[in-house]
Amino acid sequence: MRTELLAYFSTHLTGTIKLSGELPWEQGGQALYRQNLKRIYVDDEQTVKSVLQPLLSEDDIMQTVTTVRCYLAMDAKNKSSDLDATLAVFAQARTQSGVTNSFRNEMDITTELDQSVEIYTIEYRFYTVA
Amino acid sequence: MAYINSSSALTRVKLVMIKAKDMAGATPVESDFYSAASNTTGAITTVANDAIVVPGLQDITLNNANGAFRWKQLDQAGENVITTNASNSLSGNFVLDPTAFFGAVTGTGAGKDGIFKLSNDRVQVAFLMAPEGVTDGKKLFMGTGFISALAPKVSADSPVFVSPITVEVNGDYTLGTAAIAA
Repeated sequence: MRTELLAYFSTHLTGTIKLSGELPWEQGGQALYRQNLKRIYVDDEQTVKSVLQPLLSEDDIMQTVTTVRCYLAMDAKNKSSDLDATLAVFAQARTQSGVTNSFRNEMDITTELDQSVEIYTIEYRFYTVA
Repeated sequence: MAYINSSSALTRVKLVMIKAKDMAGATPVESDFYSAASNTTGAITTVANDAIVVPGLQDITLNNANGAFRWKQLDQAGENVITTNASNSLSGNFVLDPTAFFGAVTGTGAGKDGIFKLSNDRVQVAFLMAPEGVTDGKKLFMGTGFISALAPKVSADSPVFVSPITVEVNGDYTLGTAAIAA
């Protein structure tokens, strides 16, 4: 699902906010997205399996929730002019990124300020039957 | 105290159904439903009469509700009672398996028809319910009846079809003891 999101972002982000193919690893104790403003970093998938339908037999029907977090940081004093368009792309990616086997897709965008930098965390959750 | 334990692979609850007309005798017996089972794994390895081993069971309830006739006597402070004919039924919920629900391509009996057709055509079925599996010595409930109360349901939160099922039991239950497994 990270692959689908990366492909969607690379096609639809055409403004000043760019996509990085790297993971948001840390350099010198600081995450890359905090150092490279206006760059979107897509983290690895996290998966959680839980019981969707409990059965008397041992083969319960499970659901898998795959969470993908993306990060974007920018100068809070001088926001990018295409921020709104970028946020719209994030919202569209929930249903249009090409993830076809999920029965529910969720997305949250949260922000936090770190000194003069605003950090956007975009979390996607894809629910599949597995 | 001992208890009926359905928690291991050996002792899983099983519900098996065939068409009542496929029974060898007037009342169902274990060999009407399967000809081989494993004492090692607890699995039914060879079904008989194209039986359906209902997959995806979520819960099962065996109902044996006797009626009651009460009367009062002037010489007694409390009512007298005797029980009368019972309403028997077997109910539960299961996740729909396409083959078990709609029928198989091949077969000659219940398995070919599938649970829905057996219900829709009001075919009398014979059932075997093994509350603690089918390994040797375990108790078995058997009987005949009709499938009803199918109501397959799916929702956005739970995109897997689940349905209640009731077997309205015709007459009494027969209690047996498993003896086929090897």
